[in-house]
Amino acid sequence: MSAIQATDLTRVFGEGPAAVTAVRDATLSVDRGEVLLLLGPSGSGKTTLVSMLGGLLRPSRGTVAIAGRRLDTTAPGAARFRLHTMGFVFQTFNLLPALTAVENVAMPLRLRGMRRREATSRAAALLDELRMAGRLEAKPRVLSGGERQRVSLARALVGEPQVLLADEPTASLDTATGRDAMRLIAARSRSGGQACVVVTHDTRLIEFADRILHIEDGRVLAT
Amino acid sequence: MEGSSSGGGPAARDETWRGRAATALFVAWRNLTSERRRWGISAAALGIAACLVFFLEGVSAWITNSSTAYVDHSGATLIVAEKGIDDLLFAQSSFSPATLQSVRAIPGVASASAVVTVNGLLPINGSHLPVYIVGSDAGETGGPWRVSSGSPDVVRDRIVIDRGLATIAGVRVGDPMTLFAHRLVVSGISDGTDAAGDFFVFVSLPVAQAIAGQGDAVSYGLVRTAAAADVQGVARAVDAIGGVHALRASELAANDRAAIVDSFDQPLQIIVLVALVVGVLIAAIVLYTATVEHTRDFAVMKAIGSSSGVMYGSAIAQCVVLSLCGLVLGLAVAVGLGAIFGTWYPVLQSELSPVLVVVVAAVILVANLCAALLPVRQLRRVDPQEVFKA
Repeated sequence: MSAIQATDLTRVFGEGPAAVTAVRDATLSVDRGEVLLLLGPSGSGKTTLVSMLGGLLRPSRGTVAIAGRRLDTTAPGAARFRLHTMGFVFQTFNLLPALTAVENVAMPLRLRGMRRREATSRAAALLDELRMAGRLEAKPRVLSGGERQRVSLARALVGEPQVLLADEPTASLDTATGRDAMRLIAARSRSGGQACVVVTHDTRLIEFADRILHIEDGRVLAT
Repeated sequence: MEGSSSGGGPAARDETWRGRAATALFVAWRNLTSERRRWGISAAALGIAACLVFFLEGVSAWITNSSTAYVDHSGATLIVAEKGIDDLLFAQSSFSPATLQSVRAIPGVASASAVVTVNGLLPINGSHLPVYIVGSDAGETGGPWRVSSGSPDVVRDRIVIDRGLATIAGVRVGDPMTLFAHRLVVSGISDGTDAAGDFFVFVSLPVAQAIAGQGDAVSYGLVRTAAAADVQGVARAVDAIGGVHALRASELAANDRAAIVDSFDQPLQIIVLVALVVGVLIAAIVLYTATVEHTRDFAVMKAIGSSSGVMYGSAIAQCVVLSLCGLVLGLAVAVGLGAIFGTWYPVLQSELSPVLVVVVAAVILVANLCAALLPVRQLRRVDPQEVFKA
């Protein structure tokens, strides 16, 4: 069974003559430990697709299943399901500015109800693995782009999710830092057994992928 | 869609609930402490509104309590007044001393003391202070009930004045004082003897009659009934005398209180309401703008799987912390203001009892919590897809 199974995913924005189909009949699957690169230009529907895969956007048509369980964004337990099964890495990192690096990473665990001390300890251990041991108490504003992305990655992985979704994870980083971040995402996903979907327009990231899909005008095309 | 595997028995669920509550408080605290200046200014603004509410409610309590101070301490069971006069502080009662002799003759009357009262404005240091002159016979009821310095005796030209009046006029025991062209000597200073800023001046009966300018007429009769007397029967007998009627002391006090509340307390309560509304608006604006400014942070929280309860709890916790800071600040300033006025300019005083503090604090807190509904409503609308915007 695939960790992610999307079938005939379609998303239409607006109605009538003004309706725009951002994603059309997208079908894809990702296995545990696999890194899928979803490559496409700006406006091709990448972010809409990853939003639907992450349960943040309801498809107009089609279904998404995570480890065999169908996603329903309107179900009462949708947020809780996301918390326990998914990790997100964003282009602009999206760290909470009021929290330190270790507090940001510990947040998903604390949202699950884990005690502060235990959550902080696990977050610190993961940041240590990502070479961030000296920056645990730093606020996001004093971290470099690469450091912020590593904190963002740690936050996505700390709960050991089944799925890792990364939206343009290297777009805000310089080439070397971006490659370093992508190498880390791919390596951690494989070792952790996460099904990883990386959405990007950067063709230089191809070398890190196990499989590549192109998306153009909302249609997913196999390579 | 099924939930995750984080559930378990009741203990596990309880731990999860506590953990989430702790997380909401943690996020609230971090948000507050990361923007100290902003929240400090907001707490100060809420503090000013709370201070106004506390102080004015204290003034209201003082006005209400002090309005009946004289009647409460007179020791009278019944008060005889000119027919048609139902209060002490606002109306001018007048009747013949012979009438009071008739009252004394009624079976069941233990004593009936004559008092003469005059309401006036006393020119002091370039301004005018309201005074309530009470004339009574030495040894009879109706004189000062709490003298903090000097002598309580008001005989001949000796007078006892309220501490507030003495403070503002700069008068001490033994000093001369001119009261409506009558040169008198201050023999004592009394405490708590004012009615909502109307300072009591206790004089001898002849002096009060001279100031009133109505010959030997008296204003009120303070009647004490015998222990076993039928008070209602005595009152009916007084009513039958003609020209006067008897009111129970409690009835007259209620009339005075109602008159004071109508005159002063209602406008005061309107100002209190305005201050309360201002406080709620401040809380609402502060919390709403903070929520709007942090929309992306809340979108991140939603995207990574935060429950609505944690986010709403965080917003409400911020509101509670902010309100409590404002309350403490406001209460401290209100108590300070009350002490300053009470010591240096007792025309206005604030009586904040612990019960009143708790009630006012609860009202402010509930009002501010209502203000938190606005940001909570905003949080419901936050779209987690914000996280994908560059």
